[in-house]
Amino acid sequence: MLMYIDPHIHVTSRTTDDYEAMRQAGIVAIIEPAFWLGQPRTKVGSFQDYFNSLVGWERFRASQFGIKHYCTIGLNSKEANNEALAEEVMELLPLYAGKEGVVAIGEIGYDDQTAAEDKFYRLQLDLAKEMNLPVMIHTPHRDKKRGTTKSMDVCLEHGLDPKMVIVDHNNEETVEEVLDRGFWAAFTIYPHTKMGSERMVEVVKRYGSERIIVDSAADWGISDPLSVPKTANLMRERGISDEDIRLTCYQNALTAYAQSGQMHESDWLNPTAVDESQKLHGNSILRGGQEPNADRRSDIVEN
Amino acid sequence: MNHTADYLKGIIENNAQPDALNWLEDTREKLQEKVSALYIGFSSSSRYFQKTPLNLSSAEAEKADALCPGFQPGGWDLLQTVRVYILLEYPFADAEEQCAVFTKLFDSADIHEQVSLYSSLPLLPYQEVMVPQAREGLRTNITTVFDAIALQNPFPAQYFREEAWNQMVLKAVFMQRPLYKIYGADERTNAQLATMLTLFAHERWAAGRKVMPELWRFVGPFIDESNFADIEKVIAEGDGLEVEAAYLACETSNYQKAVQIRKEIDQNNVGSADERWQQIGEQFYLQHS
Ligand SMILES: [Zn+2]
Repeated sequence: MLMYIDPHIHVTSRTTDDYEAMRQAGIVAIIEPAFWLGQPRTKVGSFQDYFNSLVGWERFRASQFGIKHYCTIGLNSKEANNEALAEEVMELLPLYAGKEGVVAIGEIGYDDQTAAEDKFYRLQLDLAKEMNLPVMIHTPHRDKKRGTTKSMDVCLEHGLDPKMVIVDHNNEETVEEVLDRGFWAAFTIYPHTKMGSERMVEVVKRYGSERIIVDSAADWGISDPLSVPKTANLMRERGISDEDIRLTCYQNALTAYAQSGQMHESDWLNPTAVDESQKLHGNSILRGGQEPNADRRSDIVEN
Repeated sequence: MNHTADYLKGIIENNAQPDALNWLEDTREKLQEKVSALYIGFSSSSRYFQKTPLNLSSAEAEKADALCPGFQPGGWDLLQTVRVYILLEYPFADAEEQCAVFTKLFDSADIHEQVSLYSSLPLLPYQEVMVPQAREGLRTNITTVFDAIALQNPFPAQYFREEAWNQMVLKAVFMQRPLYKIYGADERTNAQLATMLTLFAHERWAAGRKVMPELWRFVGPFIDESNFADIEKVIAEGDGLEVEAAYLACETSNYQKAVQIRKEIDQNNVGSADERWQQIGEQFYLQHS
């Protein structure tokens, strides 16, 4: 079976059914960027618990379904506007950014493109540079083209190498400039907004597969955790080469985020003895003796 | 100089590259001066050491037990060993400082860091103050974190009061953990625990499910008229391992009917009771993994 990576998915919001479907569709590794949770947090402790879940519980939960979970750590642009809280979150970031399995600072960037957003975006770019970590950029939904250009301008101003920066949520309007300037261009296949899979096929036909990455950004909204494998299937149907599919739906994400030194293909190809023992007899997702990967489509509820 | 730290250092030196060892020595020197070096070193050691299993020789394993009875680093990995070594090299001034530092480490710990922190408990300079943290850790649903406290760790047997001990064993049964790895199992079992486990078995049987054979080890010394029917049921209806476990449980009982059963069966079992419980546990996990 083909292997896929979904390098942008908020699995904290997803169910065990999603995890099972993802694994069955061939997703072997995922990256969960730190982002906002749909409503603003009021205390720094909420951020700390969220970061803990990204490096702890959610990583374990994914492992129970045979999926390798990585994350990015950062302060998102929306919540950067609560400056007092944002300052406190900034103090937490160095504690987490260096941890195992943290593959980037992200997702950071602009939302309304305010002064506060700009301030904390820049501070986090400095942190990424200091820690030699890639950056995952969330480009704004409104005023997207100018926001994307500005995000890249500021990266260069802070001395970041474009090959260390993944610009996400691209569309037909932004892709050319991102690629021309040497950044990675990620596309989010998200129903009704951002990008559709048919449009994605056309993008790959036009721009090829170099530095292009497909992700789902599936979260608490109406979204699809199978966007990556589904888009890969559509590409195949529409005559895109296997190699281009492999690059856009697997290898490019790996190449980009492996620059952190925290993501290796061997992590899922040869899970270590330690990881194996986590899976063996693991009994927290699988309550009291449930079998992993059992067929739960039947109307009989086994327990 | 701390003998346990020296011991861990020796193991690390046998398993790591010179540049990683240089980093470690550098870290050790810095953390004599300031606690921030401990926080940085503890977290960033994953950049220098891998999670490779230690594969200790039997001499090394024996030395561990001599340093601290029940200390079993045989199941540790190299990174965990490095993290515990760093913790042991920090010069804690008093129990209060140790608690404050551990709270900070726990507050931001990932899974492997949590495992390392909990496995260090029986080696720390101030141990009893860590009981609340160990109990908190057992509330986890992450298997490896639970195991770091409950299995191959002498801390619970030494410091837990009966209630905490019993909750730990019951949860280990519920999570189907290998019970023979619980240190001090026979010394710490008690009537209350035997009752809890027997009731647990009834609940499972009512749902048409089985219980792990190792459970009966904790019931053995408390077999009496209230639960002897359960032992008989296991002997009559259980599979090979369950029957063996029921017989073995009877060996620790003074209840007359259990003593009677013991006399009826062939006594050419090889190995100590401890070894036989381990065999039962190992075979059970082979069948269920
Ligand atoms: Zn996102």
